[in-house]
Amino acid sequence: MRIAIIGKSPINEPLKERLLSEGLTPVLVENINDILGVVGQKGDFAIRTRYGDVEAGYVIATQGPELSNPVPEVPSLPLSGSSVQNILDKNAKQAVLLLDYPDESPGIMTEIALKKAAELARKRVNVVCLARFIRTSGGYLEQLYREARHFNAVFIKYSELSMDCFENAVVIHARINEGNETISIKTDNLIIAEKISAGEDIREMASRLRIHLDDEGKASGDNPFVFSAMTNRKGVFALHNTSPGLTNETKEMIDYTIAAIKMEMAAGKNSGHAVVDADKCALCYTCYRVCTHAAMAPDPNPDRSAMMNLEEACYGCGICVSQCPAAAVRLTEAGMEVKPEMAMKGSLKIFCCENSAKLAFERAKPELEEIYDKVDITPVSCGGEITTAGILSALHRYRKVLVAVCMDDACKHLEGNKRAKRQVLKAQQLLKSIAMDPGRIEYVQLSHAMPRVMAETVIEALG
Amino acid sequence: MIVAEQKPVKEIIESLEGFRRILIASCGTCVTVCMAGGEKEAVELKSLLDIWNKETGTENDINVVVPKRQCDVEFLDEIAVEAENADVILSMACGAGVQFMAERFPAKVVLPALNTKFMGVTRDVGLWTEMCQGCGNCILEKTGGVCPVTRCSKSNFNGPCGGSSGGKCEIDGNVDCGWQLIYDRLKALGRLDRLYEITDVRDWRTSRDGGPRKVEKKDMMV
Repeated sequence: MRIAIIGKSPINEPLKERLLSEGLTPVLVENINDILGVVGQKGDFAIRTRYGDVEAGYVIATQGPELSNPVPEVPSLPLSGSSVQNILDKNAKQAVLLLDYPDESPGIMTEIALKKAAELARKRVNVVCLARFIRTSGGYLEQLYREARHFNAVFIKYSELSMDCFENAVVIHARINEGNETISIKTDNLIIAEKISAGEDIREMASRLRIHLDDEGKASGDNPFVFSAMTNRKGVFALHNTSPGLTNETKEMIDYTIAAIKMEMAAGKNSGHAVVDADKCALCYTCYRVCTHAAMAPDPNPDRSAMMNLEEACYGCGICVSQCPAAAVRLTEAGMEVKPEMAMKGSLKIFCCENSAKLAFERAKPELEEIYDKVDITPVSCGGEITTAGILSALHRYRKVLVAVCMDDACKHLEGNKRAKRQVLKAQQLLKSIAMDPGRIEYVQLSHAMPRVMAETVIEALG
Repeated sequence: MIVAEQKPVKEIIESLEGFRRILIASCGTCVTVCMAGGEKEAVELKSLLDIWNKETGTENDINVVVPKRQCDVEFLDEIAVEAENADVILSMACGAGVQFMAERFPAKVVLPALNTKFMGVTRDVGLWTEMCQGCGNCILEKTGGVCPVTRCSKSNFNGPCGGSSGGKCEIDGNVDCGWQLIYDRLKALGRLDRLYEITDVRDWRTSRDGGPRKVEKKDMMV
């Protein structure tokens, strides 16, 4: 299997060697400006370059963003570098991990901090982790948090923070307890979460590889450019070396990526995906543009003038289904359509994302026992599947509709929640235009860990 | 592509008053692509009208048909049965489609559901801009591929007016000055000398001023 390494990075050489030792064939395309685009899907990519097509089953993008110390004047170690090893090497007894200073740290830093806090604490280093925002919702982060706590790492939430720097130490003054109290911590092992800046080269690479960047131009979600992870495009991995030299961490990251590729290679055929009706397709490219997983492409079959779904690239989120103006796309699984033959109960229809709201609803069941018969819940694979027509159609039979999707920036398909919100606003606007109460459609964003919010919203919606 | 947008629902509802059997006809080409009158919009509109009917106790029967185009008669033939069974046809096509539908079914009232806007391009998902006014005498070869008839608010032919400021048009600070675009493009192409060529006073008869136009392709006519 050929694996394309894209971009310039010191990690390329060791990565090449490891791929070879695993029986995989590395193909290097260092200059991202040579790349015109990457077409195809997992297992069968073609990298279009100025010099012809390069075929590869998987792609590893190694060109990374710049990570920099947000407060260079303060002596510290970078969180995502080899800070743990440094601290262990000098047999330090204590370390302070600082996040969200001076500005909110990128989301990925929470995960790194939790991992490092656990690692240090396990080696009997007294760890204090200071953060302005706690982001431990989501099973994996919660698990890491518990692990770190188990080894006695201390987590402190601060509202304001200042520092006094001495030659070998820093004294941190943190306002805690909703600003009512100040604590001071002295440390000679301060580890600060870096800020990430996506330069032009990253934007270029992202656009050519069709990897998603957020509104600020940073790689979205749990920044896949920092640590090895599959990007929003299946089979395209980002692997970035954050510290000079081949550290243990770099080796681990390479191993992780190769293991992930092998897992993808071993995975069975994808059954939950979109299907395009070639007769209906207007070839407008809307699905191609809205798909956050690069899973739609023009059908190369000359007999079919239509788009097609790249089944192995597809997550079945349904964004293309809801956005297709020709109603030419459907999903092989699930679906929010309210069919006349469907059993109907209650007066409230809930369309909820199965990744968040559905789980919150299940957790809220004990609280909702009394009104359980009054609601009819339809889980969707992603909020992106929800349509204005579906909401309006539900209003034919239900007094109210509640759309419940993931929190901002928490959609695993990146934009499903945003698209759901747009559809709700449109449906509300349409109701308003015929002098009907837009309040018949309600909208809430929550995580799986917010059953109370779900319960309250449902009870309120039922009036 | 012809770009259109849906009329306010209230206006559509008012126009439908008194009709019992309503046929909504989407159009599967331009207005599908510009998300004004495709199947998705037609189904959405039906859903909304059904709610309206239920709430107001209006009794009518709404059907949806999805012809590929309304500007070619064969596609209209395909919906003849549904059209015959309707009291009114709500066409979600551009103005051309609405009129052609009315010609094809002369006994039926045919109503427009869209306002036809312009010939344009898709700039982004959900964003279309005007690029051509169909003036019948294209001079894009002189203007670096930027149309002064469409992109200049005054359709000036020999440079910008005094209202061009900072690359923007005086009608709206968000609108690019067409002549700035032309200048920038020609400069980038190293063809600024094209601007020394004065364009004569225009004969607008090739455009709308010559009355309804037609195109004949004799080699196709037997």
